[in-house]
Amino acid sequence: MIHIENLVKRYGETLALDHLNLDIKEGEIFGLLGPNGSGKTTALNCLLALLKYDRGDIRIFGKPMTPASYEIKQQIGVVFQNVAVFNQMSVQENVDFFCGLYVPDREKRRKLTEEALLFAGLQDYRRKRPRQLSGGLLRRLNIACGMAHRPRLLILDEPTVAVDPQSRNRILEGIRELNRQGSTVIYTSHYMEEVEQLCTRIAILDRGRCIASGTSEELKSMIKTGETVTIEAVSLNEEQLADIRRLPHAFSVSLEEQTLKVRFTEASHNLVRLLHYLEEQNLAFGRVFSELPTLNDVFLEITGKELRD
Amino acid sequence: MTVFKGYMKIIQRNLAYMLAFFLIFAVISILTARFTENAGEQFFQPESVSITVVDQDNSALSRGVTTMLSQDNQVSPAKLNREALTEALYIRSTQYVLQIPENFEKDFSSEDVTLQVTAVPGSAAEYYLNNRIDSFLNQIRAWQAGGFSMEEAVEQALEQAAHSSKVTLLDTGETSLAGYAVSFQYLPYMYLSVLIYSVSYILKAFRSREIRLRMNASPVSPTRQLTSGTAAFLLLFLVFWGGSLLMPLLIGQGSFYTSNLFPWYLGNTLCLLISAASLAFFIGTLVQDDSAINALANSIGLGISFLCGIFVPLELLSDSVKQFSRFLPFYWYEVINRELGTHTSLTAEIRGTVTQGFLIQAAFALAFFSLTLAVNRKASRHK
Repeated sequence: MIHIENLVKRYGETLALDHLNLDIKEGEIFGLLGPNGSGKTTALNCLLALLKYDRGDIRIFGKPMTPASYEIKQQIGVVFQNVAVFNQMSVQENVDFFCGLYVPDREKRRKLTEEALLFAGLQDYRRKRPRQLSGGLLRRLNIACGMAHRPRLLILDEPTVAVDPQSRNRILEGIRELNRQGSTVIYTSHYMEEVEQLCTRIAILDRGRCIASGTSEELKSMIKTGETVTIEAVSLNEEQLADIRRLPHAFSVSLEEQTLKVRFTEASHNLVRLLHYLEEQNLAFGRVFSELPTLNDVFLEITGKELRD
Repeated sequence: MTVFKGYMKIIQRNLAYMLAFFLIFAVISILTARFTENAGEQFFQPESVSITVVDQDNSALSRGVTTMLSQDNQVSPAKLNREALTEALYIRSTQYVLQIPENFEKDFSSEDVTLQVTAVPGSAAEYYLNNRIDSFLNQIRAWQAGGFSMEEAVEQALEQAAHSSKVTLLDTGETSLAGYAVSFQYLPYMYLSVLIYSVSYILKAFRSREIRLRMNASPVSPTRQLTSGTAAFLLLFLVFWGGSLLMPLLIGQGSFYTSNLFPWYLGNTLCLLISAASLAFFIGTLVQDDSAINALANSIGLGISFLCGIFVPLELLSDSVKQFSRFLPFYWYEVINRELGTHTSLTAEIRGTVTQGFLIQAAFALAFFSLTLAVNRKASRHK
């Protein structure tokens, strides 16, 4: 459905996209994950032909995407990171206006606007002005304006930034519902839990390059970490740390501010062995956590830095 | 059509502001025009002169002359005392001394009868009263020639002298403005305030980066967006222009629409509309903040109004202010409005001045539009 090949975009000396390659299939919820400045928004703006790029090729629905590809644009809905609505219009007028850019028929548009308001849970706020809405409701209005015309491809650029958990859940559930109804979704975020929870396939971006892509499980299986054990409020000397490093499957041990973090390759009984050792040494400790690998671990292992940095 | 409707919706949000401005100016124009009309009427009252009459004849004719003079003047009877009368003239307690000699009525038919007049030499009162008396006596001669007795002739002439005529001036050649011209005098302030506010407000909404991104990601081409926006602005300007042209009707000067100056007023207000719109677009391109829009609309509207003879008549502006104002189109609007307001028909020379004013206003508008395009282009390159 979408094919991006060797996409290069420079802002002066800065290389924003470095030979980016992506393939997105119809029916997917495709996540673009990366820290701030990794090139997610630039990639989307190039994809929508809002930004000129230096090299590469973009094809959507099998056709090359250019600023004048109105036939392709007709089938795309977009929700930008910053809220893009008219403060001078009511909630309903905004949805109707943006839907009208795609659907000229008044009756059809009236029905779609109503459905979008219902979908976003804004039916009780239809006569309010955007500035009268809370941050969460405003984000929902932003999404309703982007999806009211029922696009074949919906692009959402960090739609949940600064949104309360209740609104966030509603937004994520809405995106799933749209996908069930047939829309392909491209979703960018730097919240890895959100991407992991929502997307069927994920591409991780760093410095304008796609450093890994696949399903969440495929990405996690690419890395060495199988389990991470964290133990708080523990005091260890160098000798004890060396002992822990020698535990079976342990490959990374760190102690920072009395918090011990041990990474194990995929294997069982890691936690039991570690706790047994601490008991043997008669060491007191606080809370204990055991975590399966996350996308942050994937990012950390590939780039050597945290996704949240 | 959707984009056009979007513009119209945002324009609708400004309607109350525009109507409020329009109503305030309509009321001010009505009051000013009425006041100007009444003030003009005072200048057409007959001249009233202080006259001393020495009637040595005491006949029907001499009493008739005295009565005729009393109709519009303050007449005091006196006895012949040359010294006292000369002194009264000197201290201006009287402006005109008329001596009616004995046997004036008796000798009236003969050619050599004369009235003795003493007045300030070359004064308007002397010229005016001499003419009135000559005219009155000629009328009596005419009535007598028609067979009327002296008493009847005097009665008829007095009746005729009491008539007043309604005077309509085709061209006063003076500098006082016609009533509808007064209402047009204030238009630049209304145009500037309303257009700067509404154009900036609309542009701000549609020029927001996020909105532009969303619009450009849609299947509506930039050309169609531009066409729709232009159509919406044109409609706004035309309605506003049409509304402002109703001012003479509101002040009860419906004859304005059939006068031969109407097309010239249309041209001048159209030039004003284009200049104000071009300035509004320029400011709208620069302003980003809601509160700044209001402040700028008011301060620019007021500033230009004081500089260009809108609130203060052009005659009262100092030369240095005028030197500066010549660089603003609104000054030329006022110059033309003054020319049109003080003439009922235009000579070739005045037409030349007016046409020159139109061209200057159009040139200013073109300059503002070009500047706006340049700023826009620079801003889009920067982004």
